Amino acid sequence: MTLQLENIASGGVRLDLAELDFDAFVGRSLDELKRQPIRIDGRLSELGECFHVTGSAEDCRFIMCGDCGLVDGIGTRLKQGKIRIEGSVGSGLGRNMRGGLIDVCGNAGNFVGGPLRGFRSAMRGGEIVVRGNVGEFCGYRLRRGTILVLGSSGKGVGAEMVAGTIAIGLPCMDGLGVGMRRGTIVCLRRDGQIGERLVDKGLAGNFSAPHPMSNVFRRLLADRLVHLGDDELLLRATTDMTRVWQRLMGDRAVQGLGEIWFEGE
Amino acid sequence: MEINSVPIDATFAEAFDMKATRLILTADDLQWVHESAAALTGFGTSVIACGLEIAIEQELAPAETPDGRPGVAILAFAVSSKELEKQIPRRTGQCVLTCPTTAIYAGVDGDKRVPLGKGLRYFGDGYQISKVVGGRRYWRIPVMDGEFVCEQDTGRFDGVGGGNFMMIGTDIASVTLACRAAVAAIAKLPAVITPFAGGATRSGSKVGSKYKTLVASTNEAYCPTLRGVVPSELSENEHIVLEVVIDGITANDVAGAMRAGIYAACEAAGHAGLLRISAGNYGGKLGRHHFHLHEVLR
Repeated sequence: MTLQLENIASGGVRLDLAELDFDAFVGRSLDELKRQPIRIDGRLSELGECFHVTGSAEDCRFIMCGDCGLVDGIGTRLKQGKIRIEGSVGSGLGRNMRGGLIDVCGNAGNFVGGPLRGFRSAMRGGEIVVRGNVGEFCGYRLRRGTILVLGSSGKGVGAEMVAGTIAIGLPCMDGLGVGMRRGTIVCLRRDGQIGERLVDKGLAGNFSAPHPMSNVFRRLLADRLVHLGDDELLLRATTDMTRVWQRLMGDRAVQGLGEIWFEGE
Repeated sequence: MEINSVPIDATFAEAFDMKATRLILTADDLQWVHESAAALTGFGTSVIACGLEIAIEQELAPAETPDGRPGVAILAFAVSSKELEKQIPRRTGQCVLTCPTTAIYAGVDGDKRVPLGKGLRYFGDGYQISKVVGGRRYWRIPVMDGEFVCEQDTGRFDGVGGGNFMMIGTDIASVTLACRAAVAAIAKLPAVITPFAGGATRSGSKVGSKYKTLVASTNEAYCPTLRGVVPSELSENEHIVLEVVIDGITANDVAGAMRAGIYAACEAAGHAGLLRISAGNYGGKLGRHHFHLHEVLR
């Protein structure tokens, strides 16, 4: 049984669900769920004021529908279960997430999997799939877990990431992996210019020269990404082991051992 | 009871509960796979002195392995979880990590775990990379051909070790023929291994010895050269005995392998010098699993 949350807010109000604890939904009645705290334009309010709540949370499965493009902080601190969003979402998706799966059918804003304000580390478990595009600083300070974006991204992907995996269709080169200590950024779409563009953006000096990478772990990760993304283009790009992939390591500025993967010529 | 004119003794094989694990070993090609597997399973015939009974369970097609490369599944059995946890990382470190292009993965799930990369990762000297994919933790250790990928640990389960049957015949050629047919038939089955060289042993043992330091010694009742000197289980024309020892994931697996092996042996050498099939036991007092030949073959 799934709990359905339909956004019925009108007038372009910005909602913040960062204080909503999806893990605590299990075992609660619909009336109790409607009284859970959210913020409407910064003002403390209740979930039932802006969402039509139906179904049951017993299976830890949630579907959010309606226009959620102005809904921030979905899945903050999520530990288990699955949230599916039938559209786009605002910023701060899956902040400080610990486990479970968030699946966004549309786009997502800035700081996907990022840290809550005042926290040093960000997402540390679970998986986020965004089938559209994401804003800036996707996976900022990521510590563990996987973020898969089938579309493109804004600047600062994987900036200061500590570990974990970010796979993006076509990431913006600005600030890509800047300050990363460990972790993996995968550029999924074939783009012959990516090496040159890394140099143009001044990143290459902070990373090792590209070198061919081993297919063994790539296959393990590719299978999981294809399972998560369920996308034909992704399937062809990642599971074709005859294609040669390259790897950069860095960021040298912080003695980092992070890696950026991309498909070579 | 007879199969192809070979009498089957009304006796039983006595087997034991053992701690076991399953591994999946892959490499770029089958030659590297088998060379690494030969090293990993080497000196793994009997827990009496090897620490493990370990052998290849079956060859795996690329579609059956985690990384899409050719591989083998390996089963390992030990008398205690402590011994298993000592032997598996040691053998993996010296025989798989060292072999070009190889990778090793858990071959079984379960709450009880045996370490693989958990300890081997330190070989990476700080350059190793940990990745969690689909809830499984892998280690990527930089080595001279790229990187060695291994899973954090593998599952442990309670297996059955010591299932056996003995082939008794007139000469070594006929019993070898029977033995090889039996081992070939068992090799086709999943979930079982025959850990001895060639799948069989000539040194069937009894518990204890006249020498205090030995836990096992020769089973003189089945030694043809001692016939007439000690109480013997062999008749006048029975000059050769070889024993196939079988370890398996469950008692049913062991019973199935015994059945397949005995039928194959009798079919191959029933009229060519194989005189009798028997089984080894310790009076039924040591092992929990008793495989009565007539029941197994029914």
